Amino acid sequence: MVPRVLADTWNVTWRELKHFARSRAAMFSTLIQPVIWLTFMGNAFNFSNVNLGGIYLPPNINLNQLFFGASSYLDFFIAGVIVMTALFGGIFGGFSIVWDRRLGYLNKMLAAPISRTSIGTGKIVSASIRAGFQATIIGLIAVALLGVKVTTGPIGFAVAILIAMLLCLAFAGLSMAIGASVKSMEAMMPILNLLTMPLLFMSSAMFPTSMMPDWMLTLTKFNPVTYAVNPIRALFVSDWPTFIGLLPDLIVVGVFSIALITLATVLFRRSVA
Amino acid sequence: MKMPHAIEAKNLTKIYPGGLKAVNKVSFDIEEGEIFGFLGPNGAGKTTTIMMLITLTNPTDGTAKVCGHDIRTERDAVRNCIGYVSQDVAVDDQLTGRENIVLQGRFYHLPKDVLKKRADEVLKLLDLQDRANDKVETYSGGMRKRLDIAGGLIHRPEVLFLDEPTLGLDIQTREKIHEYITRLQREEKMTIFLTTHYMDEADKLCDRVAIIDHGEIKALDDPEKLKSKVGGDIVTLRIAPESKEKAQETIAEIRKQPFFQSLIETQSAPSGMMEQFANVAQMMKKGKLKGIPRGFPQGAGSLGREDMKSWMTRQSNKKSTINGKNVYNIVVKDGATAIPQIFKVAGAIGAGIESISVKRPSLDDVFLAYTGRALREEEGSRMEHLMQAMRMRRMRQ
Repeated sequence: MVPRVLADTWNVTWRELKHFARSRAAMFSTLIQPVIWLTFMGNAFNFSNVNLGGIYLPPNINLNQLFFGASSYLDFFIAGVIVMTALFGGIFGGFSIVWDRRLGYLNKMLAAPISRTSIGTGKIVSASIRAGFQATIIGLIAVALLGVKVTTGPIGFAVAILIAMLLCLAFAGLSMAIGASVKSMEAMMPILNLLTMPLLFMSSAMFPTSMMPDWMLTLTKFNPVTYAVNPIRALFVSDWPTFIGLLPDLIVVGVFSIALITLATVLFRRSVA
Repeated sequence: MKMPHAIEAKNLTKIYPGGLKAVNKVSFDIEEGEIFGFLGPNGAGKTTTIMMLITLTNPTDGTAKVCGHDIRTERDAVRNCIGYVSQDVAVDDQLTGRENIVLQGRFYHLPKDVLKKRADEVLKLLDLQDRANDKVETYSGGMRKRLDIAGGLIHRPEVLFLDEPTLGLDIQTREKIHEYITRLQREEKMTIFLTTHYMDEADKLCDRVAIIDHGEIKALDDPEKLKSKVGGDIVTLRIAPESKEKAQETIAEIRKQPFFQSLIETQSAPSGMMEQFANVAQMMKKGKLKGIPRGFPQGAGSLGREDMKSWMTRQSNKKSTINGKNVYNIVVKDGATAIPQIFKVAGAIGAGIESISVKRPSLDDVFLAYTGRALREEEGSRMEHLMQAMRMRRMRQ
């Protein structure tokens, strides 16, 4: 017999996943955006294309390797795009609670004898599964069409997706906590929009931290996104030992996720008490 | 053991933060198998009462027992024995009809085989079996409402709560929904608690009706008895507005006549919902309230303070429509013989009668008699229309 709270959570998750699977527009648009980032941003930053004006570089110096620690910016950037997918998927994951509240569906669920905790967590879990699916597709596109290589192979790729899903849980938790507190879409949208870009830019997702000024570098240290990007990047461009060395980063992401899911649950329970 | 009452409410009270008294010491008992109606204008406290009875809002004071379980201390037991169909038509557009029903059954932890059988039953009961596998976004408004009701029945609740079951539906669809509701009582032996602001609906469906206004029960009885309490026939008399004094003189004279029973007094206070909106707006202005309290239609949040403010200003400038037009509702023993006499009295005084009509008392008149206001006055305000429009838009989407 499955514990009731798990069954309830799965029912909520099931509904959200059905929505995702049935809405081709949503699926398409969430996929197309990262692909655009990859193709345009990823190909624009490439030192191999830069005309050095006749300056001679010794053959053992590769500027891409020097700045990005990868053979191309694209190889460096793919980890950032995967994390970006998780971040966006998570941060807008709490939106459905506000939507359900407005439609009256939330009251319908609350009138049933289902565990209160499961309503929030079910939606958080579904956001994570969705982000995992999207990140997988994006990763496969990058590998198949854009020539990105994963140095740790298929297992490394799978681990990278799992890390992205873990990060997504954290931001879906944050989003759910906001959704439980503000209760209206009009108030929620600007808050979410305000959060996403700084979280993305103040991390090592887009640019190597070695290029950042000190103050920015300090900020990245407080951003959980950084702690997810680094291990994922290690899986894509480095090797297993480097990844193992970054395991403490994963603990940071894990703690962060647990804390935010707990916060979301507490705030949600309070909002419907 | 048979339970004495399906619902027992004792001094149920809800005061929202900031002092808004939505429901004030409401007590009633509902028998098993009864269709019980809560009749009142929007904002009278109907939805808030339901919210408390279905355990979504805690009462500030008092309590109630639903199927013998306390709504404060035995919430899950209450939730297991009730079905709730909100006024919002809360069905999931992206799922098929059957998926909606099955998901709801899973929320009630029905075993798989039972759920499958029961889903077929409720879909058939509400005549939805032919379209059960279509996505709900292709359904009409009436079908959605039926699906919503079907979902509320999936776990065979002992008590079914229907909040404004025919709000925003056209007349044919309303008739249909009425048929289903009576069928539920007859065939499923269900106790039904419904709220409505349609008099005819309460009259037609309910075994007993509670008239609720400003959070208080003003009268509670079966519709026939309520109507007979008002008296014989009601003569609605409209006297030309230019002869205000003569009109009053005429009424004074009519009061002395043997056929006269009573005069239904009217007043021009802002009606329930609007008064409460005004309170809410006031509190939001003072920063005492964040957002719209639960129990109010959620759409109210997007109307904004300006709508409320402009409404309040207009409301305070507005004079009583009834008294301003010199309209009087007079209860008489026998309308047919009273009319010639009323003409005689008015003629003697020289007051011009613009129109006169006679009718048997309806629940409208009962409402008017108990609250001093006509329920019909509620309709037609801008706020009401906006909210209605929002609801309709949601239903069509």
